[in-house]
Amino acid sequence: MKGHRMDWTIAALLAVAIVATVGAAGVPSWIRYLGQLSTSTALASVGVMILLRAGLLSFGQSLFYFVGGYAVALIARYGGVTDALALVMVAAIAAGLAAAIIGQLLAGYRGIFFSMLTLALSMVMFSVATKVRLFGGSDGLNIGLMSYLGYRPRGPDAQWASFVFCIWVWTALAIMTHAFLRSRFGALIPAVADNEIRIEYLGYSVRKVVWVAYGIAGMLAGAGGALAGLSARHVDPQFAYWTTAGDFIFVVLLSGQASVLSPALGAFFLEILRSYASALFPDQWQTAFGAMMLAIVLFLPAGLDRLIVLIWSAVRKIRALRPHTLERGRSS
Amino acid sequence: MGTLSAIIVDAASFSAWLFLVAVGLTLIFGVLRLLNIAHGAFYSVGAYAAIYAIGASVALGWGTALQLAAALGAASVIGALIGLLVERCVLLRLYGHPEPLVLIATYALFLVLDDLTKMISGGRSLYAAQPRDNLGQIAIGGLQYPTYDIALIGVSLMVAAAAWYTLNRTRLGRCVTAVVFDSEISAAMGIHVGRIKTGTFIVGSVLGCIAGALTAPKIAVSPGIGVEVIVIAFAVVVVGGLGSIPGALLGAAIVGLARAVTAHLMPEVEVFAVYFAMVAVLAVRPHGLLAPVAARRI
Amino acid sequence: MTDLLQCIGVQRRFGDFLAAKGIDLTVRHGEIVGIIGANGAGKTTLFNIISGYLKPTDGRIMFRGMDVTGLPPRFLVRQGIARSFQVPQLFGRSTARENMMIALSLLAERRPSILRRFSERGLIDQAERVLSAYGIGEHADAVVANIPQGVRKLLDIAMATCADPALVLLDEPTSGVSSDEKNQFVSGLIERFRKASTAVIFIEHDMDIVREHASRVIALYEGRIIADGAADVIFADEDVIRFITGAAGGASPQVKDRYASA
Repeated sequence: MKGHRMDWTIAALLAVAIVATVGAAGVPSWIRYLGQLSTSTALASVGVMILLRAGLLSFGQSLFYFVGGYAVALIARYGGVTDALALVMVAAIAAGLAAAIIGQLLAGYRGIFFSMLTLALSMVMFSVATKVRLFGGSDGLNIGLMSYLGYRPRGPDAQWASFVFCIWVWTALAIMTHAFLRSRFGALIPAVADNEIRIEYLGYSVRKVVWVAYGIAGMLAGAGGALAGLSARHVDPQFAYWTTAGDFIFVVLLSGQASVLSPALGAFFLEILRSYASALFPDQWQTAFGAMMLAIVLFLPAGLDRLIVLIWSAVRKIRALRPHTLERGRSS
Repeated sequence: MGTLSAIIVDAASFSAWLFLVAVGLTLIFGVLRLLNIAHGAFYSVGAYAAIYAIGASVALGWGTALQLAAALGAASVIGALIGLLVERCVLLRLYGHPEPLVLIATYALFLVLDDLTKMISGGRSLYAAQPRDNLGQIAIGGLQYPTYDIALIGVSLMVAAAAWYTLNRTRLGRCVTAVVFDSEISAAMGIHVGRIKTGTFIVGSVLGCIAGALTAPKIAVSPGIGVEVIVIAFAVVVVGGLGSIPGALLGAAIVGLARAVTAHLMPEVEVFAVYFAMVAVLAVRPHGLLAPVAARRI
Repeated sequence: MTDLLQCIGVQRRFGDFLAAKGIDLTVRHGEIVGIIGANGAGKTTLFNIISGYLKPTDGRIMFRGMDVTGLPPRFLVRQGIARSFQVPQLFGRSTARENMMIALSLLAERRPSILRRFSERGLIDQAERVLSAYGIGEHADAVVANIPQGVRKLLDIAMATCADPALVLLDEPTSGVSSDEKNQFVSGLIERFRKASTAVIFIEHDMDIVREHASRVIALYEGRIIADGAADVIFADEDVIRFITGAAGGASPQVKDRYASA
């Protein structure tokens, strides 16, 4: 086969990862920490993005974020495993399995049924988590220091290693997700949102497409939760709470659904916003967050990447010096 | 026999509360075809309004009837105002947009409204049990119950009857039913579809606030009560069939019974009773018991 | 040679309403069958049952001698029953080429691969060949929601039939096609299927088109087959004239056109 062109998304992902790895030593540790937190939010948000492309809004990805985070905490505590990679892999598989089971129940639902059932499930998990002793109740669980394939950094090195680890887990999973989305199976995901009847009449099960999408989204959220636990070295029931799922939705709303890279930008923006807001107006965070969401829904429903496209096309039109073509910006 | 009568009274009382909480949600869904997550926030706004209204009327030395009237009045006014504002400023611009986007908007509204109640109350738990305490107790089947809780069963049935009467026996109700059935044809027939939608949303928000106001004397009103409410109200509505008021009544009865039975016989799983009931019904009828039949698509 | 399709006593009930009242129907390999009947006669319901979208309340469907009653469309499609729709069922946000590519990648393989790229040269070329064969190659880059109804109709049929089915169900192929293009439109389609000796059942309101292209006509009235036979015989049938075609030999052109644009 000829024509293996360069894939720009993969190139960009690798470039980001390499720049972050090389530059990690040169940036203040708090920025590194925010970057690290964004990788976990970004992974869960990519899952939300996949489902949204299929026309499904999940209000319950926090459930799998929780499963991932607690899988790491519990295995590290009771199993004595300290290898970060092994823990993240087990966490992602556990969350993926949970999603595969729950997905069997949910794959027949669409629209608000899907959204509200996912919401209900994550809230059930939340109330279980606050009560069960094994899970540390509402205080959650602490996670010790990790090793990375035999390398056991301590002190400042530990934070650096943890950052680099998160970046590369995110990169690897983002590339895999990208490959999935551009595969022949992946092409069915937006098709589900468009026309389910046609897919059935082309000989394939819509249910199966939704189920696979949900499983992958759950796995990504699980990996995200695992990274969040490793980064903060702590997990608590808040992982499962519906506002955590709301954060992922916010990220996708903000960044749009153009590619697997988009949620990373949205997630980084969210983490910066959150850290500034908690310093400046700690008591009005939810209002600010909600108001911003409303503003995006009302004025820029396609997300910030749409804004970039709009600005770009406006720039090109101005360059072309044909004023009357500006009228055509607001189609559809 | 004591347990049986206790289960029946508890089921009736809990079902009444569930119906009050769910009726506004299902009404709004039926007419506007949107699931209003902010309904949970309306509930907590109503509860806070009632707390302050009861507090003020107690300070003024008013009697129980006036305390309750003040609570309901405050909740209704605030509910109507918020409803009007939300529908005109936000939802009106989103009709016809993809469902996920509308759902996100109502979620964002929930966050804002919920936070506002937190700011006003300072995040403390507040109580206003005076009306409930003043009404005393009543004995049913050898057990004592607060008269207030039993009276709520009657209130709930009255709301159900009023909703049924308005929708089925008045001209306005027939207009609403027409919009539910086909808003384009209704508009062609001269019905002000926009006004019906705004009006319905306001009524739905007022119902949400009133549910909160009526519950306020029974509980410690604190931030976060709205979240549980939206999930439970959805469960009730979905069991009965989204958008159907008789469905909300049926759903409330089923979920209420499930909760009362588990509370008395298996208290450790009581929290999950609502979800079990929901999953069990959805497994048999994926779109609820009284859901309208979908039209042919191809 | 065995019969291709057999419907035996097929019934379908919606509440109190019987949309199909014991339909017996046999179609042989390569036959071109036209179905006529007024609105609500149960024509689309019959297609929905044969293609597996609706389960019959009673009766059996045999396809190539196998009992396929109650099997879903995705199974029957792979057995060789293709179906086009009165309102084209397309992926509205994708281009015509992408629509065709999805159809090819699904129908040509047992399952869509997670490992193979979607935008692969081979698949793109294949999709473009099919579009060109149907004469709609020029619309390949257009987003489907924006292309003319006649093209959508063809794309719908092209997607449904791209894996050489043994039986094609066409639900009002000419609705939305302008009346002066109708005949040519159907000729092209029928010619294509005749060459591949594919059996065709088509629902059509234009009696001239049915007369010209169907080797056999089935008349449906209130969920029942009232006549089944060669076109000449059917159009002379008293019941058919009384219930369906009317004395003038068909509905007035205005009514037909209004129906077509609905």
